[in-house]
Amino acid sequence: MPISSLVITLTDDQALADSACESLGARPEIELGRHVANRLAAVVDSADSEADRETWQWINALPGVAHVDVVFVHFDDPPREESPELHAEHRAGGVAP
Amino acid sequence: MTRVEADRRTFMKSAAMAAASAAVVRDRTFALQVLDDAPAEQSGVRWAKAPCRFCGTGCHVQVGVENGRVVAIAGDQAADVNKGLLCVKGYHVGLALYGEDRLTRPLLRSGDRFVPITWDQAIDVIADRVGMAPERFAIYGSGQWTIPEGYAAQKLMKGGLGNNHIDPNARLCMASAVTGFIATYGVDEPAGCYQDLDECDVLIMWGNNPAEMHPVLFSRVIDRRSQGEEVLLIDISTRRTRTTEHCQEYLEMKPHGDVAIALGICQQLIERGEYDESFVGRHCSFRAPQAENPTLLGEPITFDEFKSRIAKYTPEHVSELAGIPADSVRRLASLFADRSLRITSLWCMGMNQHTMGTAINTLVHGVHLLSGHFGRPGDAPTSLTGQPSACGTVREVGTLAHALPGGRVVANAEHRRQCEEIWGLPEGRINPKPGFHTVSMWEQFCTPASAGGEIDTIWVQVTNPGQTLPNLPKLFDAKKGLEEKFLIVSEVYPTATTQLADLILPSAMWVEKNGVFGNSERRTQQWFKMVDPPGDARDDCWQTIAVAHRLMERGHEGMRDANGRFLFRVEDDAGQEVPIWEWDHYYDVNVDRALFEEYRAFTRLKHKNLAPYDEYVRSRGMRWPVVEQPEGVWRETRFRFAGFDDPFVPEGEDFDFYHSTTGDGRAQIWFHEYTPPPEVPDDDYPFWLSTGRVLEHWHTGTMTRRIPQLSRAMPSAYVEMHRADAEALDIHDGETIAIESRRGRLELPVWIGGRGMPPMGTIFVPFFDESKLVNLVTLDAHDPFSKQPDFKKCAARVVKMGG
Repeated sequence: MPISSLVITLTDDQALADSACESLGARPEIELGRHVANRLAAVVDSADSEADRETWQWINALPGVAHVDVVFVHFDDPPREESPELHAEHRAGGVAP
Repeated sequence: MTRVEADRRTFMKSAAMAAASAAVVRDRTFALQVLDDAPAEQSGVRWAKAPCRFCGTGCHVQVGVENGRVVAIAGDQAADVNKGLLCVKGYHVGLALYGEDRLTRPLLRSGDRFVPITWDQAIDVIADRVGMAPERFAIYGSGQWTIPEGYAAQKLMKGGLGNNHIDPNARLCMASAVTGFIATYGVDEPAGCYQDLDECDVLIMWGNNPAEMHPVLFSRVIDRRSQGEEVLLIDISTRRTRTTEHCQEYLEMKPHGDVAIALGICQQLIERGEYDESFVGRHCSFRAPQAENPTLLGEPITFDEFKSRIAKYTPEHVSELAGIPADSVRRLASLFADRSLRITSLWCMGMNQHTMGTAINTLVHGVHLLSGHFGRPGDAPTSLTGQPSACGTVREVGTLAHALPGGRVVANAEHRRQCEEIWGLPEGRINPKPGFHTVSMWEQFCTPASAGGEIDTIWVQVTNPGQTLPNLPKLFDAKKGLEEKFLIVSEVYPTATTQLADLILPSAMWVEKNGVFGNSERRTQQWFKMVDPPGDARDDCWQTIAVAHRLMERGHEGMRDANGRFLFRVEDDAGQEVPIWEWDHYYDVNVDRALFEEYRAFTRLKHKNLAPYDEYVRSRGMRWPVVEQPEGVWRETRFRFAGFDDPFVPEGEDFDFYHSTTGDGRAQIWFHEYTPPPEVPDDDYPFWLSTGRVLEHWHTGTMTRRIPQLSRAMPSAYVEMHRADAEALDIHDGETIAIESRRGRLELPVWIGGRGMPPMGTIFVPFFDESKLVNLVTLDAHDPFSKQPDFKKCAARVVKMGG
């Protein structure tokens, strides 16, 4: 269950920026923090790393968001999986016992 | 979830919010060490500093370790480079250690399989191969080597074996930047620093996509604009990228058009009489390549000759060559003519991976010098690097086939003598003949000895040439079936390179070992080992030293200095030699500190002075030259050659290019004639093919593709093409097509209207995917000075499958 914090830079378009803040605030996994000029602090508390990634992508694509920087991440679920397409050829070649 | 777990989670969330809030208000006093002060039930995490493992920006992270494992990463608020911020790759850097297929045992090829062997056996195998023919042995390294790792490999080869066949993958990414700096200033690396991004009025990106490749640096500029500052961003490129979206002006040029544009700006500045006559008159000379056997020294030309040669590059002629409107050339010249503006030029692979790489690098420096946009904060020509220590290890330690540490070169007798003296070697140990550069090294390796191939064994450390070399069929795959050839690969994961390896050595990575990097702005950064490497993986530096000692045990005199002592002798506080070639004793002393302190003596030879190792332990890096002040404080330098900041500029002088190739304190403004690319589209191969990187993956993806979040976000390579081109060929979005060049063929899906948008007649393929090797089709033509190949342009065709 990763916890990450972000600095979200909002666009100069105030209406879009306000709309983005509203959308961000409506997501239960996102807690908004200080908002100074166009920069907004946010913490994302996700169920798993996949949800965390999806949230990050959603924020990046949100109208009114110009840029997203990452400040902190805590990995509570160390990776157990591997991209299935990766290195099939190496595994097939194998390592002699 | 237990109450303790819930408390801990609540605590982590509050720490995360505190970190973000501090970054929002730019509170530089906040530091995550506060977590260390938390009650044990809330945080068992211990924090330490390190530079990020990935690109050349050199962001500082704080690494949280719990139970011997990296569990958290935070941007370092105390770091000037990134001010607490990270990109999506830095966010995941801790997970790069934990892919399930980490290499954990030395493996020796036996037919089509690999057999585990002991380290002792592995070291013997390498010593056997070196001993058979030391002059036919080569090391291929990297800008991801730490400074001590590269220094040790350099010393083993040039100081021990008298063999200069050592070259890095950085030859593929920034060699043209090196030759550009040397030809212009007589010394390598940028004069400015990242502060230029905070103070420029105009930022021109020459074939550069920092929004994806150096996002934290780019966000510094975006942030200024979000606060209402006026910053004009201009993107000069062959395709639209995420960077373009943020730019007010986009100039889409033809491949090689950058050369014509730079020449055109100079032509306009002179024709209109708007160049900085005072700056040029006091600080610059003019130069052009010799007609025969051109070198980086070139030959002098007068201002009038320069003016005469450049006269034909009118805006209209440049428009023909570069494909941008003539008025855009005039507009760029007008910006440079305005001394009230501060202009920073930024570039990376677009200008370096170029058969005119040295030329375009010198020309952009020339635009800045001619216009006087140099040496004030915000006025700078600045190249970025793609690897974390391309500057520190490759350019400063000099792990190149022609170089020695400290800006020395093997061909210079006095330089060899200086190095032999510092290394305590007998006179004449260092070979005066430059070794094979990257492309020729691999060509020699892939050529049978019976056909003249002069390299039999290559030891690859910290890089993946099986994916990154151009024209892979010729320069890598041709090794198959050559019985006398032997490939040694030190790696952390299986890669395209290990597939052809004969011996694989499992390596420690990043915070599994001590390290020192040098980033793009001359900043040297140190970190300590925080966790153990998996299984029997060991430090690359130890591997090098263990081989050196084995060779000495076998009687190789090159492994001893002039006093008969081991080349890598390290003593404890009592003056006793520590057997660092034995893994169990490697961390009895800090080998990094010992090697770094020895290396420091070289850095003073070319005014790249470094502070003692312990100063870097205390800091978030320092930019060289770092000079001790009378009160004992070590002071870094932000702006070289500028009297207000550089300690080596004589008092009272505003500028001094103190390594001038002409010995008179002047920088060189070069003229280079535009020449077309070596391969251009024709009827058979009608498309331009360009290659590059993506935001989610770092270089060949060996680390980032093992991070599930990043791999899912960008699972495989693709080809970007223009919608009209696709429609003409009846190709649909997502369809698998083939790309063919005169060198090879590659199948991959099409992405239309994706992240990057090439113009009609151009396609783009990223190189991170080892299952879709775009370098099967790229060209190995290279710059005549830097020997850097051009991955950004060759001719290709698109073939509809099943049609």
